[in-house]
Amino acid sequence: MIPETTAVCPAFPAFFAIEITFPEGWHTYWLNPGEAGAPPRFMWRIIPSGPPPVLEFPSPARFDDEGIVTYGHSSPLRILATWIPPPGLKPGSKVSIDLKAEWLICREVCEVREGEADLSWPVQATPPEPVSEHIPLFRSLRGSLPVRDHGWRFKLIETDQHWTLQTRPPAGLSLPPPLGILFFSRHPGVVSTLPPVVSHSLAEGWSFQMAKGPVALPAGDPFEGNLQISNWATSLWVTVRTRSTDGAREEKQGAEVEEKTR
Amino acid sequence: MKPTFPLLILAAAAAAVTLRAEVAPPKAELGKPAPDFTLPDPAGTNWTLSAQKGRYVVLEWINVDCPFVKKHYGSGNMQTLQKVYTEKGVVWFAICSSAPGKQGHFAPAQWPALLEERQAKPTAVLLDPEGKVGRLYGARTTPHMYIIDPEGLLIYAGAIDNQPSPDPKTLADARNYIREVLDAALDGKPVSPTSTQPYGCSVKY
Repeated sequence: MIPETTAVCPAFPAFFAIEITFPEGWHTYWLNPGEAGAPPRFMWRIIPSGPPPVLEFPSPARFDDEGIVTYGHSSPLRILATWIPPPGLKPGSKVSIDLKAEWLICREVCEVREGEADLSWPVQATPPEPVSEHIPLFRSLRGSLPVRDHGWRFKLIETDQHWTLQTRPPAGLSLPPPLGILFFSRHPGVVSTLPPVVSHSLAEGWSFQMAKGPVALPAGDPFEGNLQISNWATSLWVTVRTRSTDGAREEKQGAEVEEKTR
Repeated sequence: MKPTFPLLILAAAAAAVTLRAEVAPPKAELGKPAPDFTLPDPAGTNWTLSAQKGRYVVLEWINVDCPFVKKHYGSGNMQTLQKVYTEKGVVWFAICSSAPGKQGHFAPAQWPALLEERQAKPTAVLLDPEGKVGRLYGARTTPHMYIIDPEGLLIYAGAIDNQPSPDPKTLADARNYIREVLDAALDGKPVSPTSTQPYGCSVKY
C-alpha cells in the first residue's frame, strides 16, 4: 500500500494505492471478471476504527482464452483506495490500516495469490501534504481510472434481448464515428461479452446496443460499467439508475429506463 | 463513378455475419430441451443424457487442478452434494472438457485414483477432451453447473454458489444454488434462481 499523503486529517478523504504485482504474461481480474475468473478480495482491519476504503480499479482490458472472454489487468495492477478518516480521530494519534488480499492470476492455468500489507498514518488537524516522491504515481494512477465526472449524458433502453445505451457528449465536443468500442458491465453476467453494435441518429446520437447476459440486473441496482472507445481515447464510467416501467406493453417495445448525467 | 456507400454497407454486413458466425451461441438454453450427448466414462462405458429421462440430472464441469474446484473438493462440499442428491435419485455427471496437454486433462486410467483420492461420488465422470459437449452447453468455468429436469428441460445454469472465491472459508456463508434448486425441484416447487454467473477457472478447451 502506498500513501498519497504524509498524514490524515479527520473527515478529509485520504488516498492510497494498492499495488498487486505478478509475472509477465499472467493476468488478474477486474470487479466483474467476465465469463471466468474471480475478482480480487480484500479484507480490512482498521485501528482505531473507520469505514473500509472505497476502491477504484483502472480501466480493464479484455482477454480471450479459447473463446472465453474475461476482464482484467496485467501486472502491475494499481487500485486507488479512498478512505474517510472518522471525524472523531484525535490529532497526534495514529491510524493503521491492515489489508489481507487474495487474487487469482491466470494464463494457461490459474493460481491463487495472497498478500498482506499495512499502512500507518499520523493524524493531524490540518489537511496533509502529499508525499512528494509519490506524486507521479498517483497522477498516473488517476489517469488509468475510468473518468467519472465527464459531463456525458446517457439514456438506457431495455428490451427483452438487449440493453441500448444512448450517449450524448458534452456540448461542443465533436467526435468521429466511434471505433474499438468495449463495454465492461459492473455486474457479472448482466451484459454479454460480445462487443456493442453501434448506430447513430440525429435524434439519439451514438447508441451502443449490447446483448443481455444470462443474469438479471439486481433490483434497485443501477446499470453501471466502463465504456471504452479507442479512437475517442475515452474511458468513461457509466451509471444509469433503472426506473420502474409502466406496463408490459411499453416494456416490450423498449422501456426507457433513465437518463443521468455524471 | 458509382458511390461506394452500398459497398461499405455490404462490407459492414459481411463483418457482422462473420462476427456472429464466430460466436455462435451455445445450444443449451434455459427452459428448453437440454442438448443430448453421449460421452464415455474412464472405463469406456458410454453415458447418454437422453437415457436419463425421468430423473433429474446435474452436469458439473470439473478440472481437479483448478483452485476453485479444489475449494469444493478439498472441503468435501462437492462430494456431499453428490452423495446427498444421488441418494435421492439424481444423476450426477462430472464432465471434464480439458483438452490433452491442458490443465485438468488426465488419461482415462488416471481417473479412478483421482476420484478415490477425493472420495468423489458422482454417478460418473465423463470425458470430453475435444470439448464438444462443453461448447454445446457453453460451459465456461470449472465448476460450471447445469440442472436438467426429468422431462429433459434445462432448469438451471450457472455457479455452484454465490461465493466467487477459492477460499474454502467462504463456504460457511455461501448460498448454495444447487442445493436450493434441487430441493425446490424435488419438492415440486418453482425453481429459483434459474441462471447465475458462474465463477472459476476458464474451461481449458
